[in-house]
Amino acid sequence: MTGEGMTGATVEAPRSTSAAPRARRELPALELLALALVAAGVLRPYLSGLFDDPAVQTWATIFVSITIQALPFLVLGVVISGLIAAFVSPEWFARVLPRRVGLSVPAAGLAGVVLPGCECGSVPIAGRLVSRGVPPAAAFAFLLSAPAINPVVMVATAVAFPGRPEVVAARFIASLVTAVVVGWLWVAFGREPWITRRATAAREGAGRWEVFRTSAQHDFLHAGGFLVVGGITAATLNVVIPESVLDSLAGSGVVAVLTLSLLAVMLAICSEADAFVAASLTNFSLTSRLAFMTVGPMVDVKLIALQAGTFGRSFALRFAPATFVVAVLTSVAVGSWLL
Amino acid sequence: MTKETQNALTVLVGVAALRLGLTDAHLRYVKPALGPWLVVAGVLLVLLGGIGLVRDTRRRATVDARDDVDAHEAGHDQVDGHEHRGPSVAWLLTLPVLAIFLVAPAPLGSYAAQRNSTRLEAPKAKFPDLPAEVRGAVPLTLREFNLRTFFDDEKSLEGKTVRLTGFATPHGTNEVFLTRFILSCCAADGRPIKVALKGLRGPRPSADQWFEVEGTWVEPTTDLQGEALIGRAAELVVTSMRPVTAPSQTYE
Repeated sequence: MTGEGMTGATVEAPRSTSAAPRARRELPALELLALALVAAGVLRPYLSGLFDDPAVQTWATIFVSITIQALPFLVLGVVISGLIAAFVSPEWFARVLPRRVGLSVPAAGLAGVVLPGCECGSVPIAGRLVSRGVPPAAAFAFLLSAPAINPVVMVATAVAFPGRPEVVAARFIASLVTAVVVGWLWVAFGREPWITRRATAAREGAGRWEVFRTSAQHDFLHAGGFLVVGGITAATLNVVIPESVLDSLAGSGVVAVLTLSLLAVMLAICSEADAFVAASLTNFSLTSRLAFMTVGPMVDVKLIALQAGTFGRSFALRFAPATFVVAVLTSVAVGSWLL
Repeated sequence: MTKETQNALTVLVGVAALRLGLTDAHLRYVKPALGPWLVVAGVLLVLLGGIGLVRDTRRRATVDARDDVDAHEAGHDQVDGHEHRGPSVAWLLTLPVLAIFLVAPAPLGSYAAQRNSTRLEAPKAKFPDLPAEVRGAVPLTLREFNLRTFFDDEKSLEGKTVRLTGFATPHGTNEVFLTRFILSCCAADGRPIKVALKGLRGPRPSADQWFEVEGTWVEPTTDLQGEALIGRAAELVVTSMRPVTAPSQTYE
């Protein structure tokens, strides 16, 4: 396979240059990485034997596809995050955002319209915004709204529900309202110490492009690692949950709304595709499917992992459940009004 | 994680993305439209990590030539708390890379198809005319065949011989479905579309083998309407069936 040759070359090159004095003090991580790749190559026949089982094979396919699907969006997100770190000063944000935090929340929520893509990209951007002095509440409103109300997702929703513009409208309204309400909740009850992690500050004196490169790379490696955690979780749930469970809970009552909301958390489907899945869940009420599309881009196992990585665990443990409750209640309210 | 390793890992993930994006391999996992974006992401990652590798090598060369003072400074940079602890989670990024290069998981197959079913919604628009016959049969996707079976009031399939391509999914003791997955974005949202094969003779087709099947349409019995059973699939009375190799784009 040509791939092995390529990976081999990639790791080999830097290894020969690792003669710095500090290499003696630290774990030779790069050498370990190279060694692991060689070992994996040697063990390959046995490894693929392990993946002969159809359940494991399906798990691996879904795991790789979630990771691969999110990768371009994550790269877009960290590039924007790096650009913010290098080229946008905190003063600029102070100038463009409304001075009152309560007003900056809906402004930031609406700004989510401009970021095309799904949810993985918006987490590193929100992390960077907070480190550049944007009020956390506003950054969180952006974090929640961007993957749900951008034009790509709106078009996908319209395609998935042909001739039902009210579904598109309901999705837009429910998502924006949820994002703004969660932002305001943070203004009222949020505590800064819950955010135990911050995007690392740019090193003084380095050139702007070097700041861009190191910030983007750091965010990529960081968020990417947590994306893998989320991908593993989502793939496992995807393979483990039997469909019969879903069918027995179908219907239109509260149970249906809660079922689909929890399903959205567990499946971690990208926000550009979830409308198609929602459209196929025809045994469920439209309101419960709206809840599926509102909760999914804001709270799912992959996002919880990413948020815990970017803002810290004690943040994610409060933020995700609160967002979930607000999203479900908003969906029910908007659903009974519009659908 | 040292700076070197961070750079190498970034390049490695970039190379994996390039390998998927530049070959047909990405079609196993994501919709075709994402291919070019994988290439873009791969190029950016290779640049991010590659420039870092070059810069650090160069910086070290100049530092070695001068004094050790700066090298100490550079060393501190990585040992210091957050920088060191933070990205160690990035090691997990080696998992999808290893999976892509070493395991290369297959596209969704009969195992996933057995566990799921898809309810197609009636299309809003009227059906267009059937495509022209090729070699004595109308080539159709499994999705189109199902839609026309259940929702076409004009019964355009009546009396026609159609040709379908998909993989075999055995079900129960003697049923076999011809199957294909449809994707909206990636394999995580893949939904199986099935056609029940009737009138099969000879040995039962083995799971996941691809077939080109010709046959005639069967009018669905109305009492199936709305029933939530795993095999609410259109039926086809098979006239010929030959094994084929899997297409590079296995999803519909």
